[in-house]
Amino acid sequence: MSEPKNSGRARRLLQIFFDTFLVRNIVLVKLLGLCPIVVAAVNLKAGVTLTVCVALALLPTAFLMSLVGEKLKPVIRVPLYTLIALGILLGAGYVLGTYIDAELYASLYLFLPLLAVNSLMTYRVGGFAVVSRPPEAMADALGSVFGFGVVICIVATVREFLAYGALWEIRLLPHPPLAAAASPFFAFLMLGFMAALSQFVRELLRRFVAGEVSVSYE
Amino acid sequence: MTAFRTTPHLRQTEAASSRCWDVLIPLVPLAVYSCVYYGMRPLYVMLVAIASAMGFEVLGYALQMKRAPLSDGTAAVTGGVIGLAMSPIVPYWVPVVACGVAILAAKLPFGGRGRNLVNPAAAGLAFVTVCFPTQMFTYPDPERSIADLSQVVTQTSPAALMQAGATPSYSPMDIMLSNFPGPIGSVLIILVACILYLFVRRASSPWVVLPFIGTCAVYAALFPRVSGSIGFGVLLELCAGYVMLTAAFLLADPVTAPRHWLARCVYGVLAGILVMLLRRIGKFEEGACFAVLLCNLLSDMLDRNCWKLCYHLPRRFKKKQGGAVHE
Repeated sequence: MSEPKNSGRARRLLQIFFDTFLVRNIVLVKLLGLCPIVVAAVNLKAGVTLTVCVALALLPTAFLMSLVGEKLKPVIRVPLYTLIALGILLGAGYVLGTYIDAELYASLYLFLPLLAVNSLMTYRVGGFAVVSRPPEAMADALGSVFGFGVVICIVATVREFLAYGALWEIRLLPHPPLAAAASPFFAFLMLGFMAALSQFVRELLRRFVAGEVSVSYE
Repeated sequence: MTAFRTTPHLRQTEAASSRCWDVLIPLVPLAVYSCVYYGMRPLYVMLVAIASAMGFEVLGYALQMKRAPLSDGTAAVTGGVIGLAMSPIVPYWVPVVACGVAILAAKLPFGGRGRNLVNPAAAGLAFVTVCFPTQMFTYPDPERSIADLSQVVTQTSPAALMQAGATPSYSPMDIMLSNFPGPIGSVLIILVACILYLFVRRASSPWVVLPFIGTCAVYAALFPRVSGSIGFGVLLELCAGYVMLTAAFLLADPVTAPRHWLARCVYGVLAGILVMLLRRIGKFEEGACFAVLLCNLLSDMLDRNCWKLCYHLPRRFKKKQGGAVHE
């Protein structure tokens, strides 16, 4: 196997990472993994827990699929990675419920195992990882985890502050400013505006790089 | 076949401005009539709503470094309709929030005038209904002054009473003259006149409005929520909340309603059923704005399918006679 130069390879891995993380953000551009963000991310603790669980499930499955994915038929591959992810998530759920925070586990309850069949998982693991080598697959999976994590944490922070007047369960305001922020519609609104903002920033950067925008307008 | 791929947007944007001024005119008697009961506050609520809608329009266009087309009147209509659906004693910030959501979340992100996916006023009302139901649905007694807001006597509205399973005790004349606790623009007689005016000015479509009101009336007659005569029940259902306001201003909006006559009928019937179902099983005493939003999203599909139905079906029957079928 002819190995490309190390710097070129590292650059490509970084490119894959930033592509999934920022440029074509997994949530804001590709609109994957919306369900846990919209329904479960009502406080920052839940947001961080979901991010960690996605990382726990996505990274090993993506690694495994990049190793053996192409050798397996889709009819075996799809149930296999779903079951592996499900096993990891059920284990994570057990650890969370027994040793870490039973209340948090109760609030997430169904959403942890459901992550195994989330579009984010099936699209990245069943799509990109299968046709890529392990380093690329890991870079892509890490980018997905960070992309998902940043969005879910922003949404969860804003919702927790507005709906409960709190941050990481520390009460900051005596009365919640907008109790309805905990409803799913608010997360959809936020995601819409965040997607628009990310597109705006991306377009601005593209123009800036292309030299179409100068610093002053005149 | 590309004509029906998107929502039924306005084609003749020039006509939009005259149409909007036609919609603004009927708002005036509704607001003025409400002042007979409540003093000047309903007028102030309306003015705050209209001014804030126009302000948000200016702000939204300023963010895009464009000049806001305020003269077309669409923002003013959105603000006015939001103002009419408010309680006379609503805090002023509620219509401001509703207008902000309407203009900045439901109208401008989709391309502004004539391109909105859902009716902006309905979106704004839905947002404040979900977020601030107490402020939205607290109504004053129409027979007492609301000059001093700290001493206002509030009353349960007929819509809330019906939701709780009780029968409001108002005479039919009181109901028609809006002499009951309810939103600013709920007076039946003027609303009917407004609807007729909009029909004459072609700013609203009878194909939407009449099936909508008919469906609401038939539903109310078939499944009454109040004891007493069927006519009384129907009248009460139509006058409580803002069903007639929806019929006049929200539902038949030419931008978001379908264009095909059959699609318009189906749209009206569907909206009627949804409004009445939301009242029966919904969380809030009035859910007309949610029904409008849902139907707005279906209007493209209705348009396409009804158009196909009316266009292709007769041709299918004739195809054995030969000749090219034009697309």
